[in-house]
Amino acid sequence: MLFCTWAFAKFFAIVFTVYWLVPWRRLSWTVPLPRLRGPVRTWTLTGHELRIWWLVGASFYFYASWNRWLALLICGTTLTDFGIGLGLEALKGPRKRRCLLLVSLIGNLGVLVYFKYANFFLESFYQAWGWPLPEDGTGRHIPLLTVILPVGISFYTFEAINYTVDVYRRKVPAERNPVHLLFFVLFFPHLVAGPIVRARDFLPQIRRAKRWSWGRLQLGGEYFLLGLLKKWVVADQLAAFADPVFAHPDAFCTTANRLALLAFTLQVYSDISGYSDMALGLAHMLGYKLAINFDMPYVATSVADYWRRDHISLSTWLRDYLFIPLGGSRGGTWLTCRNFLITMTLGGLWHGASWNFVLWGLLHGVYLCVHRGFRFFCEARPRLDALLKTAPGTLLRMGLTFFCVYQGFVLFRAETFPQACQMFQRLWVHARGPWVPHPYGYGFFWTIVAGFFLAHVAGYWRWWDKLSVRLPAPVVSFGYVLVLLVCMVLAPTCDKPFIYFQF
Amino acid sequence: MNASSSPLLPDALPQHCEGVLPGPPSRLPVPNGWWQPREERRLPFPSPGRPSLVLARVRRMRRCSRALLLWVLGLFAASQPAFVVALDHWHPTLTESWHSHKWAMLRRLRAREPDRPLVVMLGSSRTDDAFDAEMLNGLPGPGGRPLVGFNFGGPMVGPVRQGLYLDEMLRAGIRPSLLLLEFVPALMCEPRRGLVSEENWTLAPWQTLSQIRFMWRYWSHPHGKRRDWLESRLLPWYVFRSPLFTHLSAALFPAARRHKNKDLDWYYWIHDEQGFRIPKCFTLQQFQAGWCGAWTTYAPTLQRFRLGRGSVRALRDLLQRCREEKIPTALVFMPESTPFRNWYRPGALEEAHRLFAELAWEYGALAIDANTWLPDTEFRDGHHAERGGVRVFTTRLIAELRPLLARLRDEDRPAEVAAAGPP
Repeated sequence: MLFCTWAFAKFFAIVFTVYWLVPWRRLSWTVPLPRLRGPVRTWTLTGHELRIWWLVGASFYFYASWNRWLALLICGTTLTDFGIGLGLEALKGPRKRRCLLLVSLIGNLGVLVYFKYANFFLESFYQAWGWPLPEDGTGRHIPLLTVILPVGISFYTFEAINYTVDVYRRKVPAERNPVHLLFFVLFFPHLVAGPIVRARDFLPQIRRAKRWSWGRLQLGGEYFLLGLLKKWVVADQLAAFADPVFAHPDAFCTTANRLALLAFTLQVYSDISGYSDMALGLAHMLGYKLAINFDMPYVATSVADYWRRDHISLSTWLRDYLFIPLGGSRGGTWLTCRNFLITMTLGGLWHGASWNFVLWGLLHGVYLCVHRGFRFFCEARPRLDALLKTAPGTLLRMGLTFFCVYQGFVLFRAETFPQACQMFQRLWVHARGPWVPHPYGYGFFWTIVAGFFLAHVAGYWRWWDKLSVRLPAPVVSFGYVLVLLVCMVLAPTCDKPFIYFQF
Repeated sequence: MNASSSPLLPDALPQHCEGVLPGPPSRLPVPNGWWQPREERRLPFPSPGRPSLVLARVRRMRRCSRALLLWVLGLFAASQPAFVVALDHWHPTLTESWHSHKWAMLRRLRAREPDRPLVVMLGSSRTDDAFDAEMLNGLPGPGGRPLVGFNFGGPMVGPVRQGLYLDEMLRAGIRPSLLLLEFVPALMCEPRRGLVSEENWTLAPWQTLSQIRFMWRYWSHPHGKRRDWLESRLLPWYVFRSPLFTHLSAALFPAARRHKNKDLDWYYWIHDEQGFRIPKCFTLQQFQAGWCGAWTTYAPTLQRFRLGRGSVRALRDLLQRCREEKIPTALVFMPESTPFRNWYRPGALEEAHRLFAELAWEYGALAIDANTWLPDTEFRDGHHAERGGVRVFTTRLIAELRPLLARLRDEDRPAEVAAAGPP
């Protein structure tokens, strides 16, 4: 179920209504547990616990509406991690704890590799040996596997890994209630496309009972509306300028190719951050806080700054569970660069089972290495450093960073490497050709781009926050309704899935 | 909220909140963390005072959120019927634009020529393309007055909507002296999922309530249509977003304005004063695309062709209405190319011909079987007439109508003689 569909709206209306109707304070059932001997033990079910069970059930239904067997897979892996977490806490010996952690890592990553990367590695193996790909499992070679990629597997696998690693590092106590752990992994706002939630941030929230808050409902609604605006008005509209060109770059002129790449650059950010905003909004409406995942990455002044602003949950996860364990930036320049390249390459691979994504990740690793070297170069030259920190210098850095990220998106979006090469050629070697035919023309395109830029300026200067504090409620409400109506008028005619669902 | 009593709140203020606002920190509403701001950005441009603004927003939310959300609900709920009212009264062309367009033309024609006998042809886009009403102009009609023709063809109009439009005409006081009704089996197919039929292709949101009430009795799946119609009245901004944005974009974007010519309908065609859609020139690729499109659209339906009970009943009711209103009627089996006729399942076309003949005989309508009139080269996509086909079709249609027109003139003559008085 996509967040911006009628089916989801009905689903959420039911979940939300029942959730808040359950009285969290007054409701409490105490059930005596069966015993053979010893003191009487009871189990108390409070309204708060009932709410959590309701959300777990709703989240399971949310995922199972796509594929119920794979929903059971998530439950199975989560319950396994629950047992491993208890074991990690109970065991004292470091060797045994390390073995148990390895079991968890192998299990989680094994599931991820099997479902997502098995066919990719098999196909690469065939191509490396020059063998033809087998069709329908016939032939003398190992057949390709028939697997369905579980939606959101990359996200919930990383969440499960962060839980077991944090328990191992004793940063988080092992969760004693399996339902709470299931809730942490299955919670439907972040289940299929993030943000990647940390156990130490989310598990304490589960233990706190939630009280109704109009303010929180308003905040959740604002986030959801912002996400809808980004998805429907920006991402889905810009797709019409990008998709035809990426399908056949040679069929369009150089300028159309460049504008298509610009369209995709804005589309991918709006699509993913739109989803994240909707997830944040839904979670707030249910009383939970998820981490902010995007912080205007296109105003970044360097590639390092870009990764501090873009897909924050993923980049911080990679930093904490890959980059730092590899040594981080402690081992000198060459080791740091090695760690950058490994982290970013694997980060690229996480996005998709394709060499294009690997190259995209590698490119960003190279960018980080170059940035590090340049940073040391500037720090040794205070005048240059000061010049680059002035307003024009900052604009220059922002422009250069945007250009680097913009070029990288060719690899991210192209389906094959030859297609990416075609696109690069079309971008850099001037060629004539038609523009993308669009009923509203490129005036519409530039209107969206201008709106995008204006929104960034307004977001940075917090114009809406300042206005909403000063204006009366009816005027602010009118603003919200106007935005909602714009979203409705520009909604696409058919549901377009979110880009990150494929990850 | 009393900070000390709430179990939800942390033990201390965040560092950046202390000392920001007047009064001792302990009197501040201690935040529960859900509004916590992002990290400070490191840009040289002066940034606004973040902590005070954030806290001010939090306090504002806590005071006014309920009122604000109720205002949002109220304004949103009010905006929907406001749009429906605006649509119905000021801009009906936004939805079924071709229908409003044709109505306006018909009214103008009637206002211009109130005394001339009117010949109206009702039908689908086949009629829209094939019937050049201007060729009827000047032919002697009842009472010796010269005829004036009007082409009331529109996309996917079958017998149900033909009956609706006749009903609307009669209620508006526009009474045709001769009514030509199109007979297209493909549109009369039983409405099944994925197949072409008038019912499947009638968009309920684009009809008014009275039109829905008229068509309801002929639909096999009326509840789905009702749901669609209700959705369009509860969320019109969403349901009518395509025509609305197309209309707005003409004002905003020059490229869209090139397409949005007031003479063009929503398919970017031009109609003459009498409703005839003026043929365009097509390239070879467009011809090929047209034929492929027709095959993709119609072949699955024709291969499983079954006459729909609702459509047949609608046609019977329409012919009965014409008989009751004493409107001379001709039923015209529209031309189809040879390949198109071959797409029907065996026996289907014969079944359609039998029904056609039976209805014409039963209701005293003139049966004009034009199914094989046009050679295949005179179609642009197998069932819509090309430029040359229009002339062939209309000329032959007029020839077929001459005996009926002569009879109508003769029937009118006793009235003329009586009006003239005794010699």
